[in-house]
Amino acid sequence: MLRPDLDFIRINWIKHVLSAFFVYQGQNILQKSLLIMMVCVLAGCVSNKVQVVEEPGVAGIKKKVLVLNSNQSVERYQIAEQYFSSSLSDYQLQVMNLQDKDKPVEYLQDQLNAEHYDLIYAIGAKALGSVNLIGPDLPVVFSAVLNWRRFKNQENYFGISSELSPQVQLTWFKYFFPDINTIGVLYSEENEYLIEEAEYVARNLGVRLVATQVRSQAHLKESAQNLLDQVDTLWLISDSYILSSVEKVRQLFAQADARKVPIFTYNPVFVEMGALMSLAADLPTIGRQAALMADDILERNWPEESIQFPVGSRIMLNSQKIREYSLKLNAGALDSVDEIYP
Amino acid sequence: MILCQLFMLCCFMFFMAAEGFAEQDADTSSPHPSVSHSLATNQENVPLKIFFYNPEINASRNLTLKNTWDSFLKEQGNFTFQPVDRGEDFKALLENERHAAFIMSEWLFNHLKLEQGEHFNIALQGIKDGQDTYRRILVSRTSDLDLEKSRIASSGDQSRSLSILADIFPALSPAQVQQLKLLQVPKDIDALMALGYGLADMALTSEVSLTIMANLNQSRFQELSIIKHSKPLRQSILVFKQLDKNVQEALVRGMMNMPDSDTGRQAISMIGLDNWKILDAELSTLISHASKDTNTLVADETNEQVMDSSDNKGGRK
Repeated sequence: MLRPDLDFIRINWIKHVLSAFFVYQGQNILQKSLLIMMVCVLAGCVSNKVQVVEEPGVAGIKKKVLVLNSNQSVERYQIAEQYFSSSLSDYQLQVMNLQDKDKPVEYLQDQLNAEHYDLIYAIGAKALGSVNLIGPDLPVVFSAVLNWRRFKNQENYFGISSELSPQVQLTWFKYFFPDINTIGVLYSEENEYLIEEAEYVARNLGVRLVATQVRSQAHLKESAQNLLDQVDTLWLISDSYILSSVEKVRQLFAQADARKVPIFTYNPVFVEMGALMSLAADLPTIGRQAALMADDILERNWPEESIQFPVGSRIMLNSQKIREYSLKLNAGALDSVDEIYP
Repeated sequence: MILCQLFMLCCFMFFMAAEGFAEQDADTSSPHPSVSHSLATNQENVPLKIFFYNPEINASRNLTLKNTWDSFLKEQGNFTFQPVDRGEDFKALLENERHAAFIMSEWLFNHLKLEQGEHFNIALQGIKDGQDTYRRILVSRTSDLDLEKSRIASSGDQSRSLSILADIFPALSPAQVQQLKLLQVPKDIDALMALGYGLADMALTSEVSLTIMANLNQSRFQELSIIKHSKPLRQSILVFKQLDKNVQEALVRGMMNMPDSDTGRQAISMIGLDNWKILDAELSTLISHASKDTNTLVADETNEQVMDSSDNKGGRK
């Protein structure tokens, strides 16, 4: 952190030294010399003291963070760890890999008993689940967890969600395809709050959002059919009820393709299945964002929102679908594309 | 002892002389190294590499950038595009590559203290919306934020963002600049969305991106205010290093065709530009003469066709 007070301390000391010197101007040379020597010794002490404040690590007062990785061989967990660690170089970090641990909870408990930590960064569900079972009295920051919503109101738990916010997804889509004005979405009870937010943003973007709640799996095909007849595009959101199996997803894609309705989605996996574009979270940014959040917490600046949406995007575009459906793409948006699917 | 030293001196002089002869031989065998290189390039079918580096652009999409540029360049000649991830690698290429083309920011060219002349020749300057300069802007919702406590979202390389912030706020000491809470994001629009949707306090971005977002979502983005802006920065440049003029001309001609084709437009827009202008006077003359010749040829052909058709209409007797 910035320490303007250090300069202030130094200036004050110089002022004291000079004033003392002038006060004793009338004394003899021996007294003056003694005074100067004392001042020099004192100044040395102060400068040493200042140095310790400037470099807390020297005195061993660096705060300690435990980085708990569910599995270091998984690329997205690796990226989160890498960018989190490189962004938090002012703290003492200790990394634990739970990859081969059959009893991760016991292993973690032993570690927490043996060492004192100021914060835990949990990467992935296994890490966060283990921490949650122990429930240490420590702030916990997490990322790369799919069911992050259950930690939303849990005290001491902070994190970065896995998908971009609905606002960001809709804004990006409108930027790429400005002529598309009606967007359809299928959702279940678990995403009611998300749809409320999305409807508000859609109005601001000049887009009509047609949201259909699916209450029964048996009616999914029929609901999709009705929705696809009304919209220019289908927005596929992360909803475990709607995307309950690969078969259901394939069926949805086939229905949309039969009507030449493009699909945009939150995960690049769906582009290979025929989606027009994916708007996913950028993994390095998630690591950096988690580090900033941890830094704030360690500095006792508690975040306004305990769980934040990722800030960085990774955009994949399916050029084959653009041609196939004769879609009008904003050419100026191409400098934002990360990957073009041939 | 003296004899030994004399012997060593003689050996050294002999060695230097031998090396000098070898160099002379090499120079004689190739009086115009750049021409011989370009011929070799053609003969051996080794494509000319165009190295690209821009720390203000997201490096994670370099593969897409390469594929898009290569699909355009293959229509223009024996050229290939090579994006570079790291500044140090790019600097090494600038120093070590003998005959190549480079696309980079003009500030980087100046920062690396590369001088035009014998080695480097700035051939093209990028254009976006008719402008050859751009400015980075610092945007916020309110103007009374404490810079040191604010979270600033910014795209591209972290050190580049900090250097722009240092230019914008000259009163800050280098230590204070290093302590700014910078959240590095992949794109300018990401930085603006982070600000617009409440995930950052400020965004270091471009004027173009702010205009785009203000047009897309007026209620969210028109309330944002520009706190500071950088001095105008020049758009990217294309630089040649020790390349034969014929090769330079061929590449420049291809690059000037970019706005005329879908693949060209796609490639140039991926580096944040929409056109080029020629800075090198000699290349400009060569290309304008050639296009005049082409125009004359086209005009002659048209005249011939007109005359033929009038002959046909008039009927040949």
